[in-house]
Amino acid sequence: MGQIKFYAALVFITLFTLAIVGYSIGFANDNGAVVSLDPDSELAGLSSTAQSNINTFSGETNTSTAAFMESTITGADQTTVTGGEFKVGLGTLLGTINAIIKTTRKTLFEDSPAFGVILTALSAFLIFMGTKYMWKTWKGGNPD
Amino acid sequence: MAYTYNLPNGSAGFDNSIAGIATIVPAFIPLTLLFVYCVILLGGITSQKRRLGTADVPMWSTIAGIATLMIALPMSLITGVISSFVLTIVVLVPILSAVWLFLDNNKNEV
Repeated sequence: MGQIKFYAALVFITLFTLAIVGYSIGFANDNGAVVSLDPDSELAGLSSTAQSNINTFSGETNTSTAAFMESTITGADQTTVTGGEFKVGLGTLLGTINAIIKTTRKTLFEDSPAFGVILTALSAFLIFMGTKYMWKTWKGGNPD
Repeated sequence: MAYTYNLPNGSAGFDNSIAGIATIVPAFIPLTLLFVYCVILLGGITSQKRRLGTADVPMWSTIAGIATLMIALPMSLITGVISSFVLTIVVLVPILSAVWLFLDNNKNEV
């Protein structure tokens, strides 16, 4: 997966999560619904985590863009040692994925060890994919 | 004629009948929502496969999840039709499908 596509995916996951959770809670508030997700601390937590992540991402991107725009190269200058100008908030956006997994574990599985089955299935799937990649590369096919 | 369950009061309105059915058969609403989800998911996958030769499962899972959410939200307005646990699952399914869709490596139609 390309880096740009990966970044775009993370941003869209965060925005989509905000939209769906915000819409559901807003629908309940506007219509005085009997069953409301508003008191659900996990979903409210997921919403605020996604919100603060996207805010941090926006701030860090603006800062790094400004640093890149204002940077100058003078004659006989050394190559930039650090890549600070190109730092964007990838780490903060990955926090949304963590929050989604946490909400899924706590709300759907009520924090029970049964969630381990999901992780086992996921790791088994990754091992299967890795083996398939190796086999396809070995037989001379396109690993994708 | 003897019934094995209490009939809902039909004269009190359609929403009352649905709430009555949901109380007598707790699996009715979750299975209805699952039915809607599966119809959209399988129907979308089949039609796209006929059209393009391949099917985009994450995209149809997301669309089916959102459509199910649209049906589940009005159910939350009446007491006893949908539980907050089922509603939470209906909210989380499109979110997880979207994670799958956005991190998917295929060339999506969206």
